[in-house]
Amino acid sequence: MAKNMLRPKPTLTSLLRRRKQPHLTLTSLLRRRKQPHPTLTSLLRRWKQPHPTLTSPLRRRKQPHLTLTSPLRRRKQPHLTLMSPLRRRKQPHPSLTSWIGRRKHPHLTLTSPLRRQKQPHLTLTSPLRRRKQPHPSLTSWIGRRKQPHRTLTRRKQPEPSLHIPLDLVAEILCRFSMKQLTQLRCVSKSWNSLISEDSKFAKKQLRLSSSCQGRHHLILKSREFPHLHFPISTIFSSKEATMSGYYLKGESIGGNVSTCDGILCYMIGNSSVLLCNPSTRKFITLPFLEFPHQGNVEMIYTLLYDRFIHSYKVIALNAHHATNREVYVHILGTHCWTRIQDFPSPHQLLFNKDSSLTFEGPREGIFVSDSVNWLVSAFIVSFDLEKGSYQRRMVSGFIVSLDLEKGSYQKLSLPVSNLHFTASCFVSLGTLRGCLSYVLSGASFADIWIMKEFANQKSWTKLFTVPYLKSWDFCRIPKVLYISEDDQVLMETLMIGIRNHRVLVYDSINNTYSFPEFQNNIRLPLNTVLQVYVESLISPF
Amino acid sequence: MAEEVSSQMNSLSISETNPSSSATISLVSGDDIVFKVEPTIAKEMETVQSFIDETDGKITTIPLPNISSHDLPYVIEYCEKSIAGKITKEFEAEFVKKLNNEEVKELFLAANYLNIKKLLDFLSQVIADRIANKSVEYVRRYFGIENDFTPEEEAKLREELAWTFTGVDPDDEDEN
Repeated sequence: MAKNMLRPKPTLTSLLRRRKQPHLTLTSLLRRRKQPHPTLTSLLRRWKQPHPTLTSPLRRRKQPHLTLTSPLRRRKQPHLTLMSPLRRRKQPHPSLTSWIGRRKHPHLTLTSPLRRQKQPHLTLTSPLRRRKQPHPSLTSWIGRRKQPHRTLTRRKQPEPSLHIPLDLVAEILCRFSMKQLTQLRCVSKSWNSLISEDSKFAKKQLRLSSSCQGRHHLILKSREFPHLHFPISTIFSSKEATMSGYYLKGESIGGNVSTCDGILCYMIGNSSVLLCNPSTRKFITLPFLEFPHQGNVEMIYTLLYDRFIHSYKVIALNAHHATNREVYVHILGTHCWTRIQDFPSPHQLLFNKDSSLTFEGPREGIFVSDSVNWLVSAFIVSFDLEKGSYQRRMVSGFIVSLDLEKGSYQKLSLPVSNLHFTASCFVSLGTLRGCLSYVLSGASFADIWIMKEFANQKSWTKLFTVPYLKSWDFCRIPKVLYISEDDQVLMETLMIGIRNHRVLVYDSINNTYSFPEFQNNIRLPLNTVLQVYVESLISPF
Repeated sequence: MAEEVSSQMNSLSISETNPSSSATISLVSGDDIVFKVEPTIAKEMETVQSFIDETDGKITTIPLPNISSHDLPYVIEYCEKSIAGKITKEFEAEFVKKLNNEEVKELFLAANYLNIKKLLDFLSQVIADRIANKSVEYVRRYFGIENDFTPEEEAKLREELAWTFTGVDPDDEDEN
């Protein structure tokens, strides 16, 4: 043993050689000679006292004292002590598999307990008899030998010998792109159901892809072209972004696109919602939502995952100023919308009865940290004598947050509470790096903030100030879409002058900008909605 | 063949030693080669460590019947680097460069058996990278999976998923 220990670490060549002809090399012969050759006696002795090292350490772990001290107990696992080394040498890989299986299901993987019971139980006192009566596991092992010997034929046949159990296959598959994952459904029935039906696997895949930039896509939605998708990485690498597109039926798809766990939530008209997972190409239309007053409707739909009831939900807010701002909820899989507590009145939240203040928004709901968040801005309207018209000036804003667990609303402050800008500003909420984010875009700057600890208003942190951009006067940033691993910021910009949207990448490290070009030089009209989604298998419909 | 194999069993023994007198842990591979490692290495292998813990450190010779003497040095090497905090992209690239597909799979199973999370994650990614963009047939061969679809079923599924079947790499020759 000491010799083995001192043996230099095997080189690749020697290892390969040994693997090709494991029992025939000179080295192994010599080594074997040094060890006493197993005589029948020694084998018998060993049978009487099954070798402890061959019992499973894991099994022993569970019953450490029993297995180590009582050979009788070990008798109950004769396969392990007697046969498994043989099996392992001959077919090392299947036994690996069964070991691993045993780790997880200790009682299920002993291959043939029933068969073993039918045969007279083997006693330790009759090793010779046992030899004549082949041990059930030996039989099964011989049976297996009739199959082509995989280890030895491995070099000749490309057929791999190792079988990886499905739960471990899942560890590998969850790292694939959605496209290949979908292809691999054709591998076998079990793979097909793992990839397309197993919700545990879908969650695992989602966890990994959420943290992987290469699994994020930008979607552009406009009435003037099909829904276009771009892998985000191609936008950052400043290659020409290649797109794939498809049409969604229904001309009246409007409003914002909400997204959660790879599912996109589109509004069709005011009362209908389409959910679609572009990665799986599955979709569903939700039941029709009916309102008390049909005239004053301005719906905002937000898709979210409620982990307290393990369900996806859509929250519908009628944000029309002339209404009570009623709120409805639909739980996926049910057939109805339920009205919940109305959206609180902004005046109440501000404790401000000042009638000169008008409120605008919200425009979209942001799901983060088990809450839905809407941004409300406050304006002062004053009469401008010089221009002879009414002017609206944004003076402040706040966040209304619906706590999913409590079902109640609360007000959250913005990092900058009072705004005193003369030129018009754009403000928006979003999620960046898993936190609630806030963008304030003025005439000469844009600040990007995140709330590092949700609902802790002291944790607002300014991530970047995007500095002055040429022709900034005509450009605002309505939305920050994504921040890359290397701090490149993907933003939606609104070119006020030419009434177009553009996508802007700001490299915060080198302080440079670029406007990535899309295939076919697509121009993004004002009604374009941009959203980033993650590849996922989640399809709760 | 069977005799040759069983002959290997002779060299095995469990040694019960006083924990204070023995600092190293002996890992015995499936083909009975003993590898002495520092206890810190054993800590990286959760399966080994929990075994040591449950025997109160009295047993320092750990049989690892599922791991061959070919694979164990790689596992130990990775654990050593991991403890030293020296797992870099370069090291990882170098580490897998010398491994063929079968060896990667063996190590993957070994990492799972020994419950070494980092190594398992790393090798999962390696396997995923090696079969990225390969055809369904290639993946079947790689994992040794029998196609249990009828030709009609498979054709139907492929048609349904036709949109994903673009830009697949041509299959390589046997890479082993």
